[in-house]
Amino acid sequence: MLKSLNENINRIPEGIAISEIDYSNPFHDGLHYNPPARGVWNIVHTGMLIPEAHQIYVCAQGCLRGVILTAAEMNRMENMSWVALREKDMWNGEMESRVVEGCSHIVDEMKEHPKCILVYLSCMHLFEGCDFKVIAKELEDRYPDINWVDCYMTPTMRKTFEPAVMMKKSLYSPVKKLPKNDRLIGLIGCDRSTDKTSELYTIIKEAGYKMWDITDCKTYEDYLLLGSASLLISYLPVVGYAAKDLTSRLEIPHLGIDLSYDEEEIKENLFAFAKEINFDENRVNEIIKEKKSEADEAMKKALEIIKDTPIAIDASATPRAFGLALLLCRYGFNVTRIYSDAFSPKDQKAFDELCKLKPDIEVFPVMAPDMLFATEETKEKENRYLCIGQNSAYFCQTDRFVNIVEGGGMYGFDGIRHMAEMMTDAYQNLKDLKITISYKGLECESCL
Amino acid sequence: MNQTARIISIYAADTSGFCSALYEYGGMVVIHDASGCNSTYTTHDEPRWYDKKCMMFISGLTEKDAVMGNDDKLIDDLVIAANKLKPEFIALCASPLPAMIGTDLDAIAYAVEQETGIPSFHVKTNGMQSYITGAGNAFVELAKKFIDDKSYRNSEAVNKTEKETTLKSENNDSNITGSSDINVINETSTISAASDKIKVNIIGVTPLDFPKKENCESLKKFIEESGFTLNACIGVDTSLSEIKILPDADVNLMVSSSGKPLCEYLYENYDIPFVKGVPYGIRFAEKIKDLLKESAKEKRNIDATSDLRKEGKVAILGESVLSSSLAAAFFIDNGINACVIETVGDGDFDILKPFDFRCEDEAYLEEILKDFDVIIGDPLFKPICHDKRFVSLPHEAFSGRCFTKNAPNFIYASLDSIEESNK
Repeated sequence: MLKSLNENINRIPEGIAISEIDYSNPFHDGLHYNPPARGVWNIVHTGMLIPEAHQIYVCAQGCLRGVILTAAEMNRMENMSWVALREKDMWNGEMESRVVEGCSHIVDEMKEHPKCILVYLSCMHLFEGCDFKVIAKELEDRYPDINWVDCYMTPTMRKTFEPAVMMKKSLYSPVKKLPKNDRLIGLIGCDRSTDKTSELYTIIKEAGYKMWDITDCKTYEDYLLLGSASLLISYLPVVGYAAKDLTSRLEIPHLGIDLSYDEEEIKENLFAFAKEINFDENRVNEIIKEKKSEADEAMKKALEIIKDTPIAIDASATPRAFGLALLLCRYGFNVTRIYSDAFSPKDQKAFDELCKLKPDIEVFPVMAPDMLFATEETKEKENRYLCIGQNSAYFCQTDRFVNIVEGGGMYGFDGIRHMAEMMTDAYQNLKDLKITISYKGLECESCL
Repeated sequence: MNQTARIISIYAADTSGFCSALYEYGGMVVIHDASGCNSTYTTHDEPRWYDKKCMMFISGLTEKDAVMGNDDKLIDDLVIAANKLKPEFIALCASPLPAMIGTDLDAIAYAVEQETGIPSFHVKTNGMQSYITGAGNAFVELAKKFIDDKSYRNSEAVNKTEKETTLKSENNDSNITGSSDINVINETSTISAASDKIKVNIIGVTPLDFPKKENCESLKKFIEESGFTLNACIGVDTSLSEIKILPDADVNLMVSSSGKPLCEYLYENYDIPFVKGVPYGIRFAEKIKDLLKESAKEKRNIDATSDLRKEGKVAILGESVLSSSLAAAFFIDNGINACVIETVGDGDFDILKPFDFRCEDEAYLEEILKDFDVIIGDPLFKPICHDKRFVSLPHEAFSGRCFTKNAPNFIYASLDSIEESNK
């Protein structure tokens, strides 16, 4: 029988055994597919963290559409405005004045001036060689009562300065140097709050310090208090550029204590943090012992319930997907799949260990075109997997998943304990996959 | 100030219209874009994304490839993906940056077609126009590529013979009244009439204007219950085979501005006339039914709203064909006079009346609305309507999925549901 050339019976993507992956060049970066999991935050969500601030986007209609509707779904349209670029703007040499006049018009229409306005420029401005300094100066001269912040929606730059990195830098740029508060520590780089049960908070509390976290700020003044911190700490990866900027402008030291699932690295980070604030080393040991014991117990308990259920992890859930997989494998969990396009150098040690410990773990990209058909394979195997992250849950078509993004605010041994509890909960209490992953910006308000 | 808005939303762009139009035809639909167009489209502009597969991708353009003019990367990536996924066709369009640097997507489509043997084409977009332009042009390019001219010529010959036979039969019928064979002849005549039902294409149905499943179902129900045969429904609940048989229709029903370029193309190239209008309400739907017959018979394009509009203190905000149809339906079904305020800034302006407005500027729109008592529009317009009575009518192309679940469907149904949905 003749067969149509277009009848493809093998569109379903196949994973690659972890031991066969070239870590420095894992997958071909071709066309990009976009899975329907919406929990990861974008630059609008992040910008909304500054209390009482307003956002203005200056870009093409297609680019505006996504950011404006992000705000609409958050019920935050009162904090969002836009200036659309048209074809004529590309050639008439008025790119700068379009920004200045557009922003001025918007401000003039407001009943009250906001304390801070984030102005987002686009790839088009970048390629036109727009003079950002002229724009900023003109707006500052016209409206000196407003703190103008230059922000960038420039996805073409994602391989050098990705928008999330630029956004983190812009997020703190209104903060000015204030008289030092010796008892204030600034936690930067986190969009969502960090568990108050973590070792970080235990140490801070016992040492008599207070933590500045942007997610706790209710007013613009609360937010500006970061300028008085005596130490900046961060544990998520995209904050490096922002930390460098803050350190140089505010003359506040920064300590990176990366999110990790490796026992030694967690300990090193906690000791480094305690040393920085002169906290008793013996007490740190006690806290670690106590928290580690809780984590052990929770993991063992979770294993008793989850047993050999196949587990899939994706990179939207944590920046250390291989590290988390290694931890779970060491506890005896049956990790079989990892979904990731990004292979961070900081996760390579765990990757290498995993190659030895469980070389048959399958690794899949997230954005490769054939991932569109990944769900076909799992149609008859629904709910077979326990997943950590929205993308893996979608690809594996499971209602059993840990619904977190970017580490989920879990840190240290306490974070491991929390992860074990979330895995158990996800295993026992099914979620509606389609609805749960449809909400944009996990934990943000939604009109849906 | 034009091109600026303090608080209202913005309409879906041409890139989303392009994807939306081509979604169900089995092709690989690619926006030459860095990042963002895909998630914007699949999150806000495409309600089918979770449940129905479409090979919609972006190219993942980087600044290095843009600066260096590295089109080979795009060609290679398209070929790799196409060879693996075997789409029916490959359609390309540009986001703002490729449009700005003048990427020759026609040439790239040609190169990819040569390399893969898969029909490929480019639809002109730049991310700076509305969804109407993107969808409208995409429908036309798809039709140009896939209409089966050979089949059309054959069917034309058959139709001609059938029509001649029918005419003879009609003449015979009129002459046989009172004949003793009347029952037999009537039965024969009924069968003949059934096979000669007017064939209708519904053109321009995308989820950006018709987001709910029941919208399309109602349109089809209207066609079928009106005694027509549905030849093709272009945009939703469709397939490539429907594009191929488009010329088999006797008349087109243009239900949105996105359908206008294809209706005009089919009229100019295949002599198929069209009727403009969405069959909202009951009596307006009846009117469209009559006009479809008239249009098919007289081979004349007809605006179904033309005689059914009067200036009033009710303003309907939105896309021109949908809004004008609603205004006409209000007039004929409920005796309400309404003005249309076309807010997309794109589409079919011919359907507008002298008392209607075209306004895509927020500040100007706010001023215009002061003169109206009742405003019907998408909820994201409400902040500029102040103390006016506001009737919510969600439009996917403006507010995305925010209010889809509350959107009433009054295609071929009583308009009272708009009141009920706002209680």
